[in-house]
Amino acid sequence: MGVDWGFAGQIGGFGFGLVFVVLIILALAIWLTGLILSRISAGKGEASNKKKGDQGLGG
Amino acid sequence: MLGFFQTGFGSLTWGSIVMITIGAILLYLGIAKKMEPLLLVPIGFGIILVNLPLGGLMAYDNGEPAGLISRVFEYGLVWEIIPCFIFLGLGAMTDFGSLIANPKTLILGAGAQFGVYFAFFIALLLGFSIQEACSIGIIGGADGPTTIYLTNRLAPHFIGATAVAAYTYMALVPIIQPPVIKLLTTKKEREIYMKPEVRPVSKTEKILFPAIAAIIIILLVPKSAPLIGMFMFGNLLYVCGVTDRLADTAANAFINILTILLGLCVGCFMSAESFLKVESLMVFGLGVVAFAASTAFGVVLAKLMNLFLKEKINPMIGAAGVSAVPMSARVVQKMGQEANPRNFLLMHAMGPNIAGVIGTATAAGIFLGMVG
Repeated sequence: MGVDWGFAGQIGGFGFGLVFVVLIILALAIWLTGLILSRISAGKGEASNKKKGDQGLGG
Repeated sequence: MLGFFQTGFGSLTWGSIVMITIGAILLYLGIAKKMEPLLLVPIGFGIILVNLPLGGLMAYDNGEPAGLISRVFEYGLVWEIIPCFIFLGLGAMTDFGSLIANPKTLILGAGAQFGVYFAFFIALLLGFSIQEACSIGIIGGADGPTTIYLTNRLAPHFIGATAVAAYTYMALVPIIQPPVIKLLTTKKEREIYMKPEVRPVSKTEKILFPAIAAIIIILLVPKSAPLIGMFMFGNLLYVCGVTDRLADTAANAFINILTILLGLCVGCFMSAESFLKVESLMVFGLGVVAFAASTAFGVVLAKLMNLFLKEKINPMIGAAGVSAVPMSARVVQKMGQEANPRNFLLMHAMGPNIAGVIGTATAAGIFLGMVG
C-alpha cells in the first residue's frame, strides 16, 4: 500500500509546527502570569509600606 | 508424554529460547547495570514468563482475555488506563519551578520533538504505514507511557518493540547523547557560563501552572487530554499543599503499582511470534535515530536562540529537551562541569527536560488528532 506523502507531509510539518505554537503560547501565558503576580505582590508591598509609614507618623 | 499431563518442553521453540535470552539480558541490564530497573526488571521477567510455553498468561478465548496478564493488558493498556494514570503519578513527582522560572525553555522542549518527526519520515521511507511510523517516531520523545499510549492506539502490534526501545534508550541516554552534543558544539560553547540562580517561583505560580497549562494545551490539542490532563492533575495535587496524602500516594504506591502492571504487560506482550520479526529490529534502529535527532535539534535550536539572546544560554541544555527525566539533565550537568567546573547547569537543564515531557505528550495528542 503506497504512502500518501501529502498527508504525511501535513502530519510532519503541521504537527511539528503545532507543537511549537502550543508551547510558545504556554510560555507566554506562564511569563504573563508571573508578571501579573509580581506586580500584584509589588503593589501589596507598597501599600503595606505606606500604611506602616502613616502609622509611624501618627504614633 | 504422560497423556494426562503436558509439560512445556515439547513446545519450546528456538524463538522461545531467543526471547527468554532477551528477557534475561534485560534483567541483567536492570539489576546488575541498574539501567531503568523499575521497568526493565518487570519487562524482562514478563518476557521470560510469556515465552515459557503453555503458561496461558496471555491467553484469549474467543477474543476475550482469559489469562492473568491478558486481562490486565486488555483492561489496563488497551483501555488506556495504566499509561494515563502513570502520568498522574509523574505529575505528582515533578517540580515545574525551573520551567516556570524560565518559560523560554519550553521552546527547547518543543525543538527536541524534531526527532519524533524525523524518525516518522524515515519510517515511512522504510515502508511502514503512517500509524506505525507515528508509533516509531514517538520513541524519539523518550517518554515510555506516551510511547505505549500512542502505540496502543495506532499500532498495537508494535507495543512490545516500541516500549522496550523507548525504555532501553532512556537508560542509554548517558551513552547516546554526549557524542551528539560534542559533535554539534565547540569547546567554547560548552564552556558558556550560566548563573546558578534561577528566579524564585512563588507558590501561587506553581499552583496556577497546572491549571493554565492543562487549559491551554487541551483546548489547542484536545486529544492530549488524557495524558496532559492526568499529568497536570497529579502536579496540582503535589503543589497545592492541601492534598499531601493524595500526592504522596500518587507519587509512591499508586505509580509503583501501575509500573509493576505496565512492565509485566509489556514484557508478556513480547512472545516470540509477535516480536521476532525484521520490523522489530527496524523499530529498534529507528528508535536510536529518533533519540539522536531529538538531541541534535535541541542543541541546534539553543544555538539559534543564542543569536537573539542578550544573556547566552549554554547550548547543551537544548539536549535536555529529550524528556528522559532527569537523565538528560544530568548528562548536561556532567558535560557542563567537564567543560567548565564553575558551571552548574542542572537547574537550567531541568526546564527543557520537563518541557520535553509536555512536548512529547502534545506531539502524541497531535498524532492522534490527525491519524487516530
